[in-house]
Amino acid sequence: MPIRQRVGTWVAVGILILLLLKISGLLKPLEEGARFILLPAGRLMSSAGLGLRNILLGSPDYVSLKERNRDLERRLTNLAVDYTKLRSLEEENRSLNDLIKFTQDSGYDAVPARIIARNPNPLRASILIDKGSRDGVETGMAVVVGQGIFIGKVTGLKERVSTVTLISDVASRVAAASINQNVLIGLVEGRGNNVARLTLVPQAVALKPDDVIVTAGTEDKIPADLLVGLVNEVEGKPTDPFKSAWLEPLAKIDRLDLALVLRPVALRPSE
Amino acid sequence: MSKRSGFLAILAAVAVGLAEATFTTLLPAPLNYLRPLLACCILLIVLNKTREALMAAALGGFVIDIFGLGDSSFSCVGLSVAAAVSAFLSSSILTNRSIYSAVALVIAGRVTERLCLLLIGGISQLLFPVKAVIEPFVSDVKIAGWDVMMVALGFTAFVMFTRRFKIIISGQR
Repeated sequence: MPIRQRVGTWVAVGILILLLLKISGLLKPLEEGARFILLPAGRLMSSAGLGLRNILLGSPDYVSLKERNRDLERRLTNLAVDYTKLRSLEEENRSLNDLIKFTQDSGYDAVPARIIARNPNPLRASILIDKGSRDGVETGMAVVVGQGIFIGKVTGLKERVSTVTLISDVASRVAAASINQNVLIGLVEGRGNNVARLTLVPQAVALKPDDVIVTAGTEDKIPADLLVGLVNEVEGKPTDPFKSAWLEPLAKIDRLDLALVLRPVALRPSE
Repeated sequence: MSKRSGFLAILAAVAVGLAEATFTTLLPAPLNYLRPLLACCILLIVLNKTREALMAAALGGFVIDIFGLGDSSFSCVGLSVAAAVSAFLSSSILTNRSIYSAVALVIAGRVTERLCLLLIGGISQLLFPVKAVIEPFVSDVKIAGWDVMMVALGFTAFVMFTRRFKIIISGQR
């Protein structure tokens, strides 16, 4: 057999063996070991990537910033008035800055995690964080940023890393409620390209732009009242059984580097 | 391949794979479409280092699989097949060592890799209750654009700073 054919045969056999090892899962211990060794380098690379990203995005144009700021201040004033009215009717006087206190009172504690990779596919919105099953993370747990803004849930789990599917992912579905009404009103579905939509909202439910949407708490391991987004535009004719709305996310997903995984106290690993 | 160059090749493959899985994914568009591993493998093939190229594709692809978030975690297999196909094309059809053949090889390699992933994704969908979300075609075009740019720049750098592809006519220096 000529040399080239022999080499080609060996290469084909090698690739086939690789594929079979991958499908059978026999490579898993090797993958875990490699992940353990390479995780520090991965964190370093992700920090470098985020640093370069911040340098490249740079300072936005001053005029557009000023206009955006004015628009946001107006919306914030309107929201603050509504929010003050709502707060006066509720038993617990919680504010956004007390969200962490809320998670402690409700029995959840948080695992801080660094974002080390992002899915490049524009239809898929998922990130990789540097905490896994060894740190007490479980599939289905809620992931928040900032002062308790819900960005997604853990959908993939390894020993030292986890995959978090964000709310704008096309496969993401999260039960939602309005901050005005403590009942399930619909489903937040991802539409890709950092966009999410609130769907299956009954016509009888009052919904208007700038309404605050929160998690409904009907899902296991996802507490209620975690901020999801603001209603941007409501769609649907009065004759339709359901209406829907586009949501504006409250967290700037592109600039995130740290997140918190909420876990119940009962699942905290023994120290 | 000497032990030293083999060790350097392994290190470089792991570094490039890690950069592709973490560093480039966090950059703003259009830089997040950079996929340097295949371009590096093609440059190695053009330099007649086929063994190193195949090793880099397998190792780098393995690193991408353990950190990647793509729709399939078979980058190792996809990139190995792409490098093997490109090596075959380089030794049988695109035998001249020119910038055009390097660009053609990287496009062929990228198409091969995508076809592999589509095939694996399709088979997974048939065998398991999984909905495979395929990246839009525009993403593939952007990735291929960056591949062409990286290979062209790399090849040009080799020509400018080495005598590797220079044709020496006797009596001329």
